[in-house]
Amino acid sequence: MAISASETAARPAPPPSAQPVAIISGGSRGLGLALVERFLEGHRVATFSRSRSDELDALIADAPPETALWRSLNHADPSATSGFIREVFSRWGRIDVLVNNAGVAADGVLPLMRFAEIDQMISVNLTASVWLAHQCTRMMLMQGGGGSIVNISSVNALRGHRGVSVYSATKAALDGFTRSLAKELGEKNIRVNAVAPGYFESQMVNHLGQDAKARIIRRTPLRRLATVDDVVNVVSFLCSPAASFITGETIAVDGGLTC
Amino acid sequence: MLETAPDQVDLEKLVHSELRRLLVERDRPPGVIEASSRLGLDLGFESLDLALLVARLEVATGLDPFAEDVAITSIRTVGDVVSAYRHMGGPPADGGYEDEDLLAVQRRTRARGIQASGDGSG
Repeated sequence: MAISASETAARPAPPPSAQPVAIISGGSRGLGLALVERFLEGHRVATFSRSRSDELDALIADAPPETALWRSLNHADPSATSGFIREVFSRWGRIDVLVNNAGVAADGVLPLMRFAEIDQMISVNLTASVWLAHQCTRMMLMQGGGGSIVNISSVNALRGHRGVSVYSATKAALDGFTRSLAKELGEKNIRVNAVAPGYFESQMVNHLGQDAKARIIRRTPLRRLATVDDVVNVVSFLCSPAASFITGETIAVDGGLTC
Repeated sequence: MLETAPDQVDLEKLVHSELRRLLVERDRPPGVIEASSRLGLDLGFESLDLALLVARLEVATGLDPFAEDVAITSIRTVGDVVSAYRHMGGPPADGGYEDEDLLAVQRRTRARGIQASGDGSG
């Protein structure tokens, strides 16, 4: 059963103007889109991506007024993301949740990778995520503390896999960032955690052949790939009051693949 | 945010006002805030207090001198803070700084950078 992002099942839903505000990077498709959908159950959600998608447009169209916001911007452009955060804070008056979801992946053995691919992965997966957290934590401090940040990591940060060395490096760095930032901000009740999904059915595993998918499933104790909901449930939990004493953790959602 | 760019007097008043606000929020006597007051030793601020100060000043002025030019870790006194905001547009055209306080801050920033790069730890 899905865990409600707002944990308000037994209570009347607050009016939109009283709902907490969640920022989700890369919300137009895949995991980001599913996160936007889940967090709209009880949050006002602001997301951005380079381009829109029909699915996101439909979600925004169905959302109550002033509860969903999308902007087109380049995640790696610090002035653009700063402007986005300022806009959200000015419009809705607070920021309670940041999910650093946007990321890029390029496969290939390191000696054959182009500099541009390496640079893009580090810029988008690491630098841009750190900068977004920088901007959001300032706002969280201004509202008197309190808040939750979840960085989307990867099982590749926990175990080595051939052909993803740079991607693994960016995600492992995010895990280190998560732990140290949790120590920095704990006294202000700003919690920082990471979720490390295993392979789940998405565009990012579409390139894997049936044999490769079958091999991953064989090595997974729970004998299946993850679903997007498996991952969204844990992110939602970490941002909820039910996780109020959890910070600095990276939780693998991988069916036991890395245990 | 202010409608127009704050002048030098406005900036100093704004910085002092935000510092007093922080002191009240921390249940400390507002007392006298002077340019020479040390943020840590005299006023008792910790790094997250300074982060909050910078966030509030950015919202109020649209300025953040610590994003690129000046390391917040090099700021020691109230005067250092005011100088950083006054000069965030960069040094005067003649290449020199009018304010010795900011010059000292810039020197400390550079010194920290050299120390960090030669540290080799971590």
